[in-house]
Amino acid sequence: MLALVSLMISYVLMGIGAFCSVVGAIGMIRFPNYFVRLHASTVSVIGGGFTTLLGLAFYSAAVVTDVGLKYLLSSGAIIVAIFLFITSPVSTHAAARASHKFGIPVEPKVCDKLEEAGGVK
Amino acid sequence: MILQYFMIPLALGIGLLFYRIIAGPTIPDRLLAIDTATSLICTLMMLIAIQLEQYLLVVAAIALALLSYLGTMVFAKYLEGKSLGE
Repeated sequence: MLALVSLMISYVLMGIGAFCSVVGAIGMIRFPNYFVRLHASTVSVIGGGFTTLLGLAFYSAAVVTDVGLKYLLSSGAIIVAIFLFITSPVSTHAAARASHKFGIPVEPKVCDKLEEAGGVK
Repeated sequence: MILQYFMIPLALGIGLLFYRIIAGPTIPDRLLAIDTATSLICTLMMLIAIQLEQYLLVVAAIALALLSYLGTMVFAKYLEGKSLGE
């Protein structure tokens, strides 16, 4: 019973992950410039990677028969998921800030507080 | 095992991101695409590890996630024109 519920949760999470990874990659192809592509990158990493890894943890706990290997694979998937969830926003923020200083233009510009304040120090 | 059908959209996404890595007009575009593709490659490695029931790829996926974060931070520092200590 518990294995069946875990398997169904893993199918839902991995389905969402597969959809989001394809949608994020299409966004990376089709969006016009750098600061718009940051949105597609977040969809692809958090929606595609993090959600699929959580689903993999549930799947491994439900399906793999060897007891030691089951918990090793499941905890490995959770460790990689938590690591992606913490470090992906940090590295994306650092890259966006650096490329604003590098001179990439903000194309559909409504308001640019960083440029008004005198740029990145 | 149904996991092989979840590998197809992940591999499709990685392939589309490799187009952006090759054809990206500026350097930060390539940096962003490499960061995203590395996260998806980590996910694909975990998928293959659970499909084959091999634990060695788990260690490789954790190391790849660590190195991806480090490489992106170093490259952002390089784009900003600073050295690593500042």
